[in-house]
Amino acid sequence: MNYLIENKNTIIRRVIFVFILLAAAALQGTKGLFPTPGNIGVFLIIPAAVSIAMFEREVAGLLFGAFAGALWDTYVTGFGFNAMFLTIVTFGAGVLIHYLMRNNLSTAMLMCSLSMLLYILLYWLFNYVFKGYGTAMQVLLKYYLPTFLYSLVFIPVIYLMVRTVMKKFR
Amino acid sequence: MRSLVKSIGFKIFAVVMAALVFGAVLATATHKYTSPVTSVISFVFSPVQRLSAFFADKLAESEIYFKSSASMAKRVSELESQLADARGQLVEYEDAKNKLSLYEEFLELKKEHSDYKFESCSIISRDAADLFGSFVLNKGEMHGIKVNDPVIYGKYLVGLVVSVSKTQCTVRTILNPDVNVSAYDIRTGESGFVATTPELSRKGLCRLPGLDRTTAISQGGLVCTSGVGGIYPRDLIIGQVTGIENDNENISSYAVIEPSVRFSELKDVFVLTYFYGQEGTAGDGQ
Repeated sequence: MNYLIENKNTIIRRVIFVFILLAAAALQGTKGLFPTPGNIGVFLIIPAAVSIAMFEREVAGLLFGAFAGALWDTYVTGFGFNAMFLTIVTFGAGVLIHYLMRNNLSTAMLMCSLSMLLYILLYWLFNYVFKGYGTAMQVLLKYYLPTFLYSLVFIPVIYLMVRTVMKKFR
Repeated sequence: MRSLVKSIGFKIFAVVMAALVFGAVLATATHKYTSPVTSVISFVFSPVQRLSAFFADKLAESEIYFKSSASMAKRVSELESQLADARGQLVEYEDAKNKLSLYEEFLELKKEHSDYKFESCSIISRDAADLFGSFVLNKGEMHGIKVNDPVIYGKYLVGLVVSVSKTQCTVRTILNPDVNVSAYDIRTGESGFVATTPELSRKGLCRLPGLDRTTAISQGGLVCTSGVGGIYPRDLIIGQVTGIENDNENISSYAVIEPSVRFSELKDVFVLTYFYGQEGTAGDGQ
């Protein structure tokens, strides 16, 4: 338990991270709460969870990832796919930052965009390609690709927000 | 790599993943299609979803004004305030009017079918990744809602419940290609299964395939549920026929149907928790 709760600042920081994830889930999942041009969607939970995992590293990161994914599952069919996906991705992000990569905005852009791309591809494969829909490619190009590009804009905002919280409550 | 696998972090990761996979297996085994982890999280955080849905509604009602700094600013502000009040009242009036019309239709339906049991629900969220308009309702197992319960708006069919947790449930609309509804055209009596394709779904349309090329179904015809299969009761309105097209894959035709419900504008719906003949209930006649 001491591993997770080190001091008062850690607790405050992690409570703030929980609120950031709650806000990201609400903004992403509630229609009309976040501006989305041209009827596309936006992914905010993935960049929020990955950014948090980059600072919290693998153990706390994966727990935040599992929480974020489970929260996301409550906004969709709750099979647990999002929880599994984000647990894997945040653990991976935490490990990479711990052992291999530097924690900066460029790395965050790379990790968040790759995670979103992976999610979109998996979602598209399972829900369109494997079901044999003829318009799968059209859907990818007209909906998921614009959604991905639009979501990229918010990665720096989310990362810098998480970094500010981290610096303030280190 | 070996040190990573032996680390406490990896062990926690493995335990969490095992728990999530077990939850998914349990969700399938219990036919609720909601993992216990999701159920717990949704139970704890459902107020957040309700709050965000409330704010989204308020945001849709309001508009942003840019105020002038000139000498007329005060007057403009007063007029804006009056206008905002009037708009607020108009929004409330429109909301009340819509609800009244919904409840009138609901009352009529209730009179016609005394066996129906309903649960009034509000939409609290929609999936950003789902193109077919699935949404989450604020009621679940605690309110008697089950997987495969039909979802209606007045006399119109919206879709069906596909997963349920204690406090909420997920609904797939008839604009989802995975949803099939047994249906018939009320004028000609020709029947079949209403479904959709991703192409038609993007245009907000469904289709009734498998019709003869000489079909008597024509534009303007009303398509209703036939009750076959026990998932949906008979005579819920699905939509209106907007045209007949020849199927490219075989020698049949299909009727293009425009659903009577505007799914993107829905805020409140009813879940039909019981009707005589419902599959898997005491009244299913099995």
